[in-house]
Amino acid sequence: MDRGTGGRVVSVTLERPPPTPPPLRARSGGILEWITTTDHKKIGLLYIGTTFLFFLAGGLMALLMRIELAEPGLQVLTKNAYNQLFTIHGTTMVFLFIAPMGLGLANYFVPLQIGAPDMAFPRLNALSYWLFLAGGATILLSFFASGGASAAGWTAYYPLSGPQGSPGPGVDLWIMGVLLASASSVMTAVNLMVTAFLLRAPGMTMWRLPLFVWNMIITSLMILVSFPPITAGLSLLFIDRHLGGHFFDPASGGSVVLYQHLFWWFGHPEVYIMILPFFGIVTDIIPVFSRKPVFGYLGFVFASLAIAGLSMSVWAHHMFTTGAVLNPFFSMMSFLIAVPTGIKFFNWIGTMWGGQIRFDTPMLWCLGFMLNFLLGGITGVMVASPPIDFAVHDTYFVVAHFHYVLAGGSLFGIFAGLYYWFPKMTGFRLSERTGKAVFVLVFVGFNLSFFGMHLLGLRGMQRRIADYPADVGWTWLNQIATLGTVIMGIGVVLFAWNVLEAFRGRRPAGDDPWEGYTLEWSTTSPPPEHNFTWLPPIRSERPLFDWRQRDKDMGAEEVRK
Amino acid sequence: MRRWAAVGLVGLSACAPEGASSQGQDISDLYRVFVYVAIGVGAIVYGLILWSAIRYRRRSDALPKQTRANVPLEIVYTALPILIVLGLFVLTFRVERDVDRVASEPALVVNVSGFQWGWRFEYPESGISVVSTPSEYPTLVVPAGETVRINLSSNDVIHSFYVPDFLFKRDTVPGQPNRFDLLIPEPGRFRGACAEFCGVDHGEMNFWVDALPATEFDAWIEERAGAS
Ligand SMILES: [Cu+2]
Ligand SMILES: [Cu+2]
Repeated sequence: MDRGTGGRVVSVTLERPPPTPPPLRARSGGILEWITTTDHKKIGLLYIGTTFLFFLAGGLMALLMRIELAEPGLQVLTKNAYNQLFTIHGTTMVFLFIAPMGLGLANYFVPLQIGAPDMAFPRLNALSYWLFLAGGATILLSFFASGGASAAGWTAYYPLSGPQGSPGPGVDLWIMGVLLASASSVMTAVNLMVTAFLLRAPGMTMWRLPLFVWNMIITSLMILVSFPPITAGLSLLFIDRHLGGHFFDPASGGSVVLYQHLFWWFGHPEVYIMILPFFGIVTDIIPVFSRKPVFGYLGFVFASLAIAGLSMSVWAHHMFTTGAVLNPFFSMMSFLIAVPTGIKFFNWIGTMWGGQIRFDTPMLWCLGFMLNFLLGGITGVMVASPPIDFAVHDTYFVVAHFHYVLAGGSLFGIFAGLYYWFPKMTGFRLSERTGKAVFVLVFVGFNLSFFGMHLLGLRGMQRRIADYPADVGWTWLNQIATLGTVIMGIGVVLFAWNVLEAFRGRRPAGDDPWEGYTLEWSTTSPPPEHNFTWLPPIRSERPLFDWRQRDKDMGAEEVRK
Repeated sequence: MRRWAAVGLVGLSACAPEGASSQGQDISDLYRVFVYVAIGVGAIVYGLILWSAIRYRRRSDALPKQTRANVPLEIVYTALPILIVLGLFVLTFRVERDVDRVASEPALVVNVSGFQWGWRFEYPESGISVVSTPSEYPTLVVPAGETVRINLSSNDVIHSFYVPDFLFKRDTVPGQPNRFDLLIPEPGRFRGACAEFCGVDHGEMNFWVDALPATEFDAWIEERAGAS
């Protein structure tokens, strides 16, 4: 089958691949090789490794905060240190871990899943990574600036983040770091979109794209629409701080609420930028482990598009208590966004329904993802109602809600993806037993950490306090939460061991350990430079499944003869 | 497992305060409706996830039926949630209208301003002013059973006037005065705090609200107004 795409002719053989494709080993990586690489897989690995280190840093900050909160009174931290920690914890998890981890996995797997040799703009891709690293370093190293890191919260609301509220360099470094990271995200978004639109292998039509690729296209779209406003907002903040601007200063006719509009116009789409990639991963994994095609492919894509559209019109639900946006429009839109999100649950259930589900580690993480994220989604509908938000806004109820979405959801999706693709990226198999132990520890630890926070919020514990009174009945719930965080921490350490052990054990994974459906499983593990020496014909969104069936059907015919 | 989810959510509803103000009672009622809907939806979806995970765990190597879509079913699971959220929106709209409504003639006006890190409660009609001191949280004294207008302002950063028992908070935003009405049916003493992060001592910005019977309130006004 020869077919031109955009003037480019790629030939695809229908013959069976040679039994063992000659290993086209990439030049083994000295440090210079990693610094100068433009290979999407190496850049992907750099992203995944770096974001994981940032995750460990952010997790350590969370652990410190939880230890402080285990008892009323101040034991291990000062108030100021606590404020820096929750500011940088939030910033790290949002800007340096979850979103870029999605982009890192996309870097590695979007080209592979569409049968492309690399990203569309390999050098731009390298630039994205290095800008991201510079941004991350700027944010994390700001702890060592005079006066410490920013202590204005990850939202950096004006006037607290203004020249009087936060005079030190912490906020400036924070602004610079976030601007670098967002510039990097915009470049990656352009790169991913062009790659997915123009570099698809012959036969890979848009409606045969793996759903991870679809969701990355839509995520990229959201990045392109939502990062310019925060870039503008933070630039204006910097001008107000240092160049005598008064954009947000009410004493000179500026508007405090304007900052929040600019921030959340980015901030709400960002929530979906942090979850759609993992919706995509989970929706690639569940069919493979259920031995069925995904249920409702078209519905899933349109639901993602609906989420992207609606996510642009709900930002003010973060601002109900400012009294500036009591307009019910934002509430209505926020309720509606639950509908496409709900559709995805039915896609997953419909895929599992009637299947033959194998609970290997990737699928276990998907199950955990669904169980946690569902509660986050339900409480999300609650806080979309302004009167309920008046009660729970800025309390631990909201902290519980978004951790069920971002830790229970995105983090579990990240683990699902890492367990699913680790064999492909390294060529080695992870120990299933250790992996299952990691899952149990993180799942139990996560729920212990965050379920009780709903109750804390309803009982009136507000966010962002290092200390709380002993006589309000919050202590035991806080102790459970701290215990849960410690258990989660043990789980993460065990995960690190799981990975190290796999590199030491060197158990070969084979090209296709899970009987996957998508093109990345048709090449070697790890794939050679430029990815493919052979591609199966692409006639559906499951080219490899079709190929295996063809084998089995031919085998059956031979038996009949 | 369904029961576990339901117990969890009932626990959630039980832990919501009743709402000590009339606005808080409206919010509490709305919250309960949301929790009941959540229990219903949660039970169905959790049930379906766990049922399919258990019932369809791998038992053989046979290839299951390769179902790809079911359009009528997809229409149902799109339309039903839309109906549910529309219903929730109508309830939300009504309660929000009631909570945000301000009386034309409140019995008392109090100007509340937040500052780093304390509160000032000013009674313009009687000239009384109550301010945080380093040793003591301030008390906002209001009459029970009457509508009180709270005007909110701030001159430094954003704070938020939050009384958990009223299930209510509203921000004090520099340059943007806010106001809301409060009606506390029964006398009582309630804990308040700042909910919007405002710097180092954000956690120390607590206060009390005392709702006094009308006669006691009048006596308090007289005593304080005479003292100043
Ligand atoms: Cu939002
Ligand atoms: Cu505060």
